[in-house]
Amino acid sequence: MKSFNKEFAKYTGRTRLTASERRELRERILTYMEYHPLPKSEHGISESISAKTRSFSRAQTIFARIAVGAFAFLFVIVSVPIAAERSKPGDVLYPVKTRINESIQAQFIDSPYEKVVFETELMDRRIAEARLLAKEGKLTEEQEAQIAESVKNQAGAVQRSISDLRASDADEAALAAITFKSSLEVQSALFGDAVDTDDIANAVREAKVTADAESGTTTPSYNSLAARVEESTTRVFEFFASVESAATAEEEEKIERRLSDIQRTIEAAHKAHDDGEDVEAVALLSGALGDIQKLISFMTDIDVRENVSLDTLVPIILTPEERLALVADEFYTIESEWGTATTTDSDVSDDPIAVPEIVTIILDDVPALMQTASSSLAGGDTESADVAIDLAIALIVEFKLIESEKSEDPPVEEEGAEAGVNESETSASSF
Amino acid sequence: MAGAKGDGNQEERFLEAFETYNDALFRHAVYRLSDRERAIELVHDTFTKVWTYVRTGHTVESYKPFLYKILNNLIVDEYRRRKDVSLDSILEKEGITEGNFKELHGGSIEELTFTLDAKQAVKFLEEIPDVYREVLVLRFIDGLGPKEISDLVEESENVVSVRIHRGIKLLRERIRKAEEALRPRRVP
Repeated sequence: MKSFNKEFAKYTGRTRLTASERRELRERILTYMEYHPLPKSEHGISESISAKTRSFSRAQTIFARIAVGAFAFLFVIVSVPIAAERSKPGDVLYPVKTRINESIQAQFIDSPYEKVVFETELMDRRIAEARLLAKEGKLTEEQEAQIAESVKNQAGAVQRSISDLRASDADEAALAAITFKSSLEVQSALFGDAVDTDDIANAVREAKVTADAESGTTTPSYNSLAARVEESTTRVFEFFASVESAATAEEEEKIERRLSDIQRTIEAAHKAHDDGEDVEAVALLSGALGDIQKLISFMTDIDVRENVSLDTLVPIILTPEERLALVADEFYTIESEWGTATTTDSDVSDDPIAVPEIVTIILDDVPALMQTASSSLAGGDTESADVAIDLAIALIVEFKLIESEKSEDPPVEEEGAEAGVNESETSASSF
Repeated sequence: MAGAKGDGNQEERFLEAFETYNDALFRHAVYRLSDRERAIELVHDTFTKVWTYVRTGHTVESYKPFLYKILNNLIVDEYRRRKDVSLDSILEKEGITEGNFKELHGGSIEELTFTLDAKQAVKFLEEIPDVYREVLVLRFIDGLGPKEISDLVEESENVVSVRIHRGIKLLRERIRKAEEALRPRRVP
């Protein structure tokens, strides 16, 4: 930069007025000044209004002013902050909302964790305002830039608060980081591939990348995490009870399913803790806490509900039974395709297609694994069932990967490979 | 040119500003207009307008930004007269919206100019739209900072940064094309 600047200045610096051009220009300007001299000072003219007249006028209006002032005072104190809460960037009352209302709200925060939550909420508000303006077609480039800047600043403030908190209370800092990360996940999902709010979306994505990186640096203790999960679970059920009547049957079913998934995850975490597997327990509870917070956002924020599917925000966690059923489906498909091929494999002239080794293994092992999983589930041993299902899934995924590689067609190699991989990924991810 | 008490100070400050900034303003105008004679005229008009402002009782706190502001306005007017185009139409023609600041993440100005040949950049400066030339001239020829430029062109610092980025990229592109055109083609 310095070098470019210097070089650029060096080449352009040679462009100057010649001595004669400068002299001529100076002469012309001096001539202009001579013909357009500075006027004499007119100070004092405006002072001609007599003090007496001013005094009379003041006395006449003083009472009215007091009355108007009292009314205005009441209006400002009571009505303006309420009205300001609904304001958006560009509105007259918007500065009241951001500089007065929010500052007052901040005064009532009594813990560093609550401060982070509040700052996260402010960031969410700024983004929601931008989305609202964009939806109404009123988001100007200037506002977008300002909001993007504001989001960056707010995200930075949250990260700094988390760092400060980490020094005094690592557990609370880790919990605050989970909250912040969940919020950013919701916001990222909301923006999706939106282009009309691109720089705000970028600000959110950048904040999310930072939050993702930071969240791995500290994990909360099992006990404090369990307590926070307990508290949040109570809240999420309360929210669900309050929206139950307004939600559609489909929404209700979906939310119930997530609540059930969360409960199951919490139970698995408690079991892992009982078994001395605290790392796993904390990971499970952290996931559950994040899901609870996203589910609360879905239930309480109409913008989220209208623009993001619950499947995207909080994907379903399959039960062992559902996973076993998926394994069975996949297995029967493979069996119907390859089961007869095994018997005709030796008849090379009729059937030159050799059965892949992985298919032989699947046909031999997966029925036994399914049997183990099924009996384990019947006996209440979900852990053994999970192990058997995981192994069966691993074999099927392996088979699908081999098949996708084989299905590559040389003339359209890249497309074929891509389609194959995607297909196998989709199948694998369905577990 | 005598005036009321204190007027002498106004005159002195004005003439001092002329001596200090005449070359810089002229350089700015030349690189914006690519017309030496017209540049001199606009510098003259700039100083006479400022003098009119002073003689109507106003005080200029800081001459540099004020002079640049006046000159910039005159250049914008000149462009309107010449081409009958507005900034918006230029941007529209270029297929650009200035709301897209993501390109600011595509590299800092330092990175973008690191391998840029300054001599070539100066040469191709007149070939890029004035909306970008304006900020590049203000940044690299007049040495103004983003905040000063932002005040001058009445755009946010972000918009200014985007224009500087795009301007540099356009220069780079022009230089690349010129080099390609000069490069002998390999016969198969």
